[in-house]
Amino acid sequence: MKNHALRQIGLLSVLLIVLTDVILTLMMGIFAFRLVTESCTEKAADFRDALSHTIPALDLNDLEKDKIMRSGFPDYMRSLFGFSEAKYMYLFHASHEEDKITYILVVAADDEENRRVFEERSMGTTVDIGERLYIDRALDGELAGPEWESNEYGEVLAYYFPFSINAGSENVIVGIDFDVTKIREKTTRYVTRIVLIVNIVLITVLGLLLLILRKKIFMPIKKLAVEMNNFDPEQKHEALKFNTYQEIEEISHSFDQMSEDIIGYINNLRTMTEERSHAAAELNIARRIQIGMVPQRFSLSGAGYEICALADPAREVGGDFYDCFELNGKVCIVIADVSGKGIAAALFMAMTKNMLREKLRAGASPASALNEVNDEICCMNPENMFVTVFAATLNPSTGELRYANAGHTRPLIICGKKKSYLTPEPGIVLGLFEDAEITEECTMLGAGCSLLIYTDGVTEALNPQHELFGEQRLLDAAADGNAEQLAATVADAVRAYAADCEQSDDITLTAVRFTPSENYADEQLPPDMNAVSIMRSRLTGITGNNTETRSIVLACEEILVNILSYSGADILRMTVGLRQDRLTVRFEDNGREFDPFRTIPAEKDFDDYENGGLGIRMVMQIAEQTSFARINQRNITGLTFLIRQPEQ
Amino acid sequence: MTITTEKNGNAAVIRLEGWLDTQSAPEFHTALDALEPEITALELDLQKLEYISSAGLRVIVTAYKKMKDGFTISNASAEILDIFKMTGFDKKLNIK
Repeated sequence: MKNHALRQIGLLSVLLIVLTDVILTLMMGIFAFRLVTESCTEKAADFRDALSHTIPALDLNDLEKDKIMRSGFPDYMRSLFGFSEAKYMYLFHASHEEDKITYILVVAADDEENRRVFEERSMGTTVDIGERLYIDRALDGELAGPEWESNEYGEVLAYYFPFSINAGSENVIVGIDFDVTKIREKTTRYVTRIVLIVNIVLITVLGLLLLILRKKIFMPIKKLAVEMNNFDPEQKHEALKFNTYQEIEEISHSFDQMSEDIIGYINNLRTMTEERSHAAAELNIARRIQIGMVPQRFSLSGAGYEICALADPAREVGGDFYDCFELNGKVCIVIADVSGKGIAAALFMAMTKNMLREKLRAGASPASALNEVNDEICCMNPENMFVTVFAATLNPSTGELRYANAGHTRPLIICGKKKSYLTPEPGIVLGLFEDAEITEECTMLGAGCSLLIYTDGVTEALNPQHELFGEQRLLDAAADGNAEQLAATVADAVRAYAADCEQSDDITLTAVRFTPSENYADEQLPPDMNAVSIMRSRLTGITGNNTETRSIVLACEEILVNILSYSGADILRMTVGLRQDRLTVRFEDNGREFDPFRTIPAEKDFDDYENGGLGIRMVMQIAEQTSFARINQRNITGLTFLIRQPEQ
Repeated sequence: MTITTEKNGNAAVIRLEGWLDTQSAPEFHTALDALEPEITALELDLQKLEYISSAGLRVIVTAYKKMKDGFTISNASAEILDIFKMTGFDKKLNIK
């Protein structure tokens, strides 16, 4: 049961009254009893004074019973009782030496009792002294008492005082017994009256107090509580009117103020909630747009390659992206990580992605695409956002991977059981410095080898112990297989490692696998003319010995002879791949830089043919496409031929 | 590469068989140098020539310069003729 203040106060009041009564009764009882006792003492003294005129005149030597009765002395003594509580008065002989007292005369206030004691304690009756302290003191001349006595005559307070009689030759002691029962009755009456008065006063005061409390404090509080309970922020709150104290009015005012504030807050909150849900809806749309641009799973495959990309954004919208597409027989692969998260990163991501795609589609090499995009972003980047990018193009005929790195994590190359990190130039993030000078690099993917590119969300995934996934675990997790298996294996390993931890960063990865047809050859050639016949047998092995092959051999021979004659190379590598109706031949050598196509020789006079310059012109007529690049101290010469009559 | 030389007085016929490329061109050059000075007419029979590279073409230019109008090419396949056309040889050389 709950404590109601009014009930509690009522109970306390009752308790207070009871306690007051008890204490008052006790104290008043003691006080009144003492008062009455004192009045008895005073009365005893009065009796002594009254008797002092008569008793010394008595001749008690020849007193006789009848004589005394007749003398009127007993009646005089009885008249002294008046309205006092004195019950008995008696004269007796006593001495210090004797243990007995001898009654001379006994009178009682009550008539019947008077007759009885007159008989029972007639003159000359002796009784044993019980307690003799007071009698001794009376013998010494004092007014001794009161002595509490309880005997067959009831409970009494006794006083004793001496008189000399017979001209001072003899001492008698007068005893007066006051009736304790009467004293008690009187005391009780007295105390009861006072307690009653005090109770009436207390009850009246407390009752009034409770009434006032109820009317002026509890009722208003209850009314306020009801008002607070029924508070409805939808409705305007009416201020309450009370007849009460200032404190309660202050509470009421505070409540008025508070309800006004709450209505204000709720209105604000409603507006904010609406805005937030609006923003959440927009974010949701942004996320859908982002997933449209960077699907969570994307596969692309064609003759000679397989790509599988996975993206797992950490929060609503992130800044990671990848892009893979085939363009003019080359496969472009881009992976990037924009600084920050949220809408800003997503916007920056969309911009960068489109710019990169545009550059690559226009035929730019990965390095020049990155450099150009960097220059453009630098001009319009007030927030100093930046992006790390790894961009590459794979030639799906030869497995040649041209790549450029702008501050991105280093990719992993998986060739069967052999797994290693590619070590690209670190480059620099795009968007901050105008002179990025990102360089182009090149590596050859062997048949069946894969490239795994990823964002730092992979290596920086945290486990419950807050340890990073790291490059070593990535290296261990990467398993040979097709692109899809490789990507899935790594993504699963990262997820299993992070367990239930909240994903802190986007996890994006792309696996690219080079899967050449059987018409593929990659080998080192001797740096001498024997290379020519090896080249010839490889090419005829792939496309047969026919007119078309011979013209291809003619073109390749020109390039080989050029390299062998002028570059001074001692390492020579040839890669050949047939893909659909295109045969691609790639030569790589470590000789002096020499671009055979840079200056197409002008049509010479026939007589000068003997001295050379003839071959390159033929090459350019035979080949559909030629290319040259100087990368990492190597000359890379590429020739692509259209095969009109694929081998039967 | 097989090279056979047939002489008939002032005239000679060289038959080229197989692939005339960078590696075999020097052989052809040797055969050309081996011709006596009195020979003024040279017919180059290319019936069995499968392939010719620019190294081979250069030796042909050498032969042409040596024999001038006495140099003829015969029995060239369409494939070889294509290469002559590609290089403009067909305009200068006497091709039968």
